[in-house]
Amino acid sequence: MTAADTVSAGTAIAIPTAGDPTHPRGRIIRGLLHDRTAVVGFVLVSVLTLAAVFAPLLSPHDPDAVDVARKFLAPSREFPLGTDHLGRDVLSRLLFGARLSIGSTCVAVVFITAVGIGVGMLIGWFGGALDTVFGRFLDMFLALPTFLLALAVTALLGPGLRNVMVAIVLAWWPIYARIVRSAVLSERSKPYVESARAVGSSSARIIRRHLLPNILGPVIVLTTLDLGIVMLAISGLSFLGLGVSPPAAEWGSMLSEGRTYLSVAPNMMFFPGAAIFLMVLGFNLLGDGLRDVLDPRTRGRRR
Amino acid sequence: MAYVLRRCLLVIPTLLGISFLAFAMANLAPGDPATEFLRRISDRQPTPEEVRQVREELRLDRSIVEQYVAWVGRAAQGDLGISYSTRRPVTTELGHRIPFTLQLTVLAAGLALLIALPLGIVSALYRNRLVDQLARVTSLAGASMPSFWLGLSLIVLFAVRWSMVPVAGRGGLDSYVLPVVTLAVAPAAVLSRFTRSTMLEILDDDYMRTAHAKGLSAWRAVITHGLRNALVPLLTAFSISLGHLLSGAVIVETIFVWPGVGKLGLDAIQQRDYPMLQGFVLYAGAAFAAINLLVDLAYGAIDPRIAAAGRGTGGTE
Repeated sequence: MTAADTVSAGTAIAIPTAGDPTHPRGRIIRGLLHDRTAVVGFVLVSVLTLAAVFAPLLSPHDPDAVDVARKFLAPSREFPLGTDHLGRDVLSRLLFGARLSIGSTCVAVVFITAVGIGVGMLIGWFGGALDTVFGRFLDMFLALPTFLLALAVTALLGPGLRNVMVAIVLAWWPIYARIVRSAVLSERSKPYVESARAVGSSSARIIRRHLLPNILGPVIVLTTLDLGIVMLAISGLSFLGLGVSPPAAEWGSMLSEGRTYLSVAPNMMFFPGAAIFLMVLGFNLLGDGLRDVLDPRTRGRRR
Repeated sequence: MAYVLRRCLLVIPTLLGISFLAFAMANLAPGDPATEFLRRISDRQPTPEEVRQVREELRLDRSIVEQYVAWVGRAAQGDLGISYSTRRPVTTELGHRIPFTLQLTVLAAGLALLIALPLGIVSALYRNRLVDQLARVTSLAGASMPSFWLGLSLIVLFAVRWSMVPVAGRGGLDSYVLPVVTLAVAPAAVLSRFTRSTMLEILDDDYMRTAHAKGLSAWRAVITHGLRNALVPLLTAFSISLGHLLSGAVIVETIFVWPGVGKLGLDAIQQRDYPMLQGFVLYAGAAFAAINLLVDLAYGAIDPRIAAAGRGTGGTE
């Protein structure tokens, strides 16, 4: 990275006029393409997502077709990843399971981010008593590690994928709210906000047009990295028997089923786990790449 | 001293939050707590007289605030009620199980440090060289690894196929190997990535350049000057990984049928054993608060600037 790049990025952040939006976006994409790990991450994420989208076309068998006569088959041409204890095709279940696993993760993260940004911006911008009260409120959520909090909330709501997602959102949004809140606090007193206020912009307009674009960078990095963590949490809860109930295919619950037949058919456990691993790895690689491109502090260090 | 006191006082709101959550768990549970309690304890439909007596004991006829205060009062004296499934006091059950979880987490934390610190330092010293690339790929893979998958795969290989260690349960020393390794991988990965980035920042600092200039070798400089300055950020990362360990213990103990608190909590969820569940939430919250408190106090001891500045950096940044 050259010094000129860093300078242009600095000004792009300091002058948040609408300007030419293609310029920073082009820089981000170009930066990501230069980053080999980010490319690998992007490929992993998109291949697995496409597999989920086109599951009906790609699946060699009906994922729910039970045939006990062909149970515990080793991988073969007909059943590329073998069959499970009910004779169902592991590959087809993996493909359809991708829909639930990836879908629930993305929906949960969208809610976490939306609620977190919304609340964080409000309390950061308006501050005062609101900030004090909400600050204490947020601290309460952080009294337990997020996974344990989600576990406890799921225990209260009862098992089921929807409840797991609600629990995950409840446990995770305060982290975002806190980060956004402190980002807003540090941006609020900067000259560009004051000048926007001086020319008579309303709070809503300043938040939308000036603050949001400026804090979005760190939030996007966090979101990408958290996609992986949330996927691990959702599949972990499913593995513990709290998420998707057995007949439906989901990666975590497939692993949980496979656990019973470890010595007979390790393929039942191995492939869903590998799918989770690759997807999370993809999110992490992509998040790392995004951070390097979006965070000007690490930019010069890369090469 | 003022710093220590102030930091200790900050634990109070955290514990309050935990107690709200634990209290809510019992009250949001379906059914009348008194009837539920009697039925689960005695396997028969309780008489109205018995129900009335328990309602009186648990202050269930009072306002929710009074109920909460009474509950906190009992909890503070170590009375967390009686487990529905084992019919023994929750406190006794927790007392039995905590040492087993503690053994697992302390060993895993030690192993994670042992792997992460050297790996992170080597990575930083040989930045962008082959060693660094390998170390980074390894730690990223470790951070992406679902612990339940790793644990089960290790069982398949080392216990089922090669019969080197027992499949599950807590027995001799060999039964510790797989659970500890499984639990240590994620924190080790996170910690080594953090060590690397912290060391990279420190290597650029002036005093490190001075150390080089006066002729110290790279390793000597890192060990005598670098590590000391990396201690505070590393401690933060370490406290975060301890939180991971608390969560990870639930999954690892389930896979390896380990008689710890994590397994106890999960069993309580599956058996709808609400008093036990409350006990588990209280334990996890108290443990988490204690870790964060100890870490923050350690900040003050390591770096006098933090104690002087008044507020610690906190364990959550």
